Amino acid sequence: YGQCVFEAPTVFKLNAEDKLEYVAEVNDSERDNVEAAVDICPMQAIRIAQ
Amino acid sequence: MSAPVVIVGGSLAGLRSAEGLRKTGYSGPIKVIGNEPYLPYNRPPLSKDLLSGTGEIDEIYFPIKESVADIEWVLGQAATSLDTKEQKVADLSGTSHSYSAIVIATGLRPKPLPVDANGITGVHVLRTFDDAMALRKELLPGVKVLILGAGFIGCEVAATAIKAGCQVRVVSRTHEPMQEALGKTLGKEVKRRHELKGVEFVKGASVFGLIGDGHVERVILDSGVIYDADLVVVAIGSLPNTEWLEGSGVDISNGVLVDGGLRALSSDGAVFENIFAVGDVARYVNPLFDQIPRRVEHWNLPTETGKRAGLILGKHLIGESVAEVLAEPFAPLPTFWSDQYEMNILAFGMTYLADRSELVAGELSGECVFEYFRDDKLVGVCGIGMRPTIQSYRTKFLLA
Repeated sequence: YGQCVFEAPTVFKLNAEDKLEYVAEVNDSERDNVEAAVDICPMQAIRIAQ
Repeated sequence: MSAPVVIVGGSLAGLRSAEGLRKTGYSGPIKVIGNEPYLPYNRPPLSKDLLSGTGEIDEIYFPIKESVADIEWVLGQAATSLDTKEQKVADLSGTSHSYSAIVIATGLRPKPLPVDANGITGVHVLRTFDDAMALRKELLPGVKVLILGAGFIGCEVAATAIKAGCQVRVVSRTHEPMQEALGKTLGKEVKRRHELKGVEFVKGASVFGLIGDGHVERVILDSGVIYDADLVVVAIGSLPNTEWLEGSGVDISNGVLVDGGLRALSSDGAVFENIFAVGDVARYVNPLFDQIPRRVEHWNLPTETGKRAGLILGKHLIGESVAEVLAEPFAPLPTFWSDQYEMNILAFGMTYLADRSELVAGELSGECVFEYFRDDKLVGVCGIGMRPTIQSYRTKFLLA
């Protein structure tokens, strides 16, 4: 649904085929944004490893 | 030890409130009273994957973050009263819970069948996991399903029932499915797609009575028409769970009226510093649109309201000023979506405020995007497919 794209635009993006792309390794400075993206994912499809 | 923050409501908004509290550094006790026997779970799959598949509750639980691992959960207990003088909440078992602050997150319940069922069984609603399980085992091939209401739940259940091989009829007062949210043109197109799958729509009617020997066999409409039905699903909207707040002084004229900080207001407009309301039950002004307080029943708002309430309450409890946070307007952009067959509907804003809609991209019979206007101001966007285009609108809703 791409909700995550809005919360953490430097980490998630929808490509031209409407598929989600993401950066697997993120800086700690992005952590709050990524957590917000996890929280707002309608499919609850995002997990943060460690 | 000080009394805990008591969150009444064990679903998404309650969970996000607790997380928000912990983010501020508040480390005191938190107790959640929930009327369902489950930890917080995600409701959207209840009308879709979970209703058709074999999934169980463990597939839809929200993750419990470390920060809220020490919450005390009192589950399977509905709150029955609030005493703001003694600062106590009572639950159905008769237990009284003292609180330092309270977060009201009791959500909604489905409106019941508008007529007396006279003890006839086979009438369902869909809000909880238990509702979904009860309905799922009845959705068998060949079963005649009559759905009352053509809103989101009614349409999603129709799609799922078709997939299960049922015969589906949708009876509604409104003219087109989901017309309030989608407008007439898009609503009509959604109807066309449902009809292609075999759903029959009956407009401008409601139920008058049920006929059956124990279990429902036929439904009489107020138009006089009678249909065979093995199963009735009532999906005609929801009611806020606020009866337990009667006599508390909180304004519960339609949900719980709150200020921009999600703090409850009394019937004479005074702010309760330690009573908050979040999620579906909260009624608030969204300055993105106007100054009219509304309850908005979309999935992203329990998270938005819970986070903000937790932040403000947490700061208040640890003695920090909340003036700065309160000064920022609370203007969350409502988001909704619906998946029916291969059709993915996605929307931002408050499309149902619109007085007109306009097709701006794609084709009505395929993928498309509509803009929604009120007095020529954009209030929403909605489409089928074309998600990147719809996403691009997120930045177009700005504070006036």
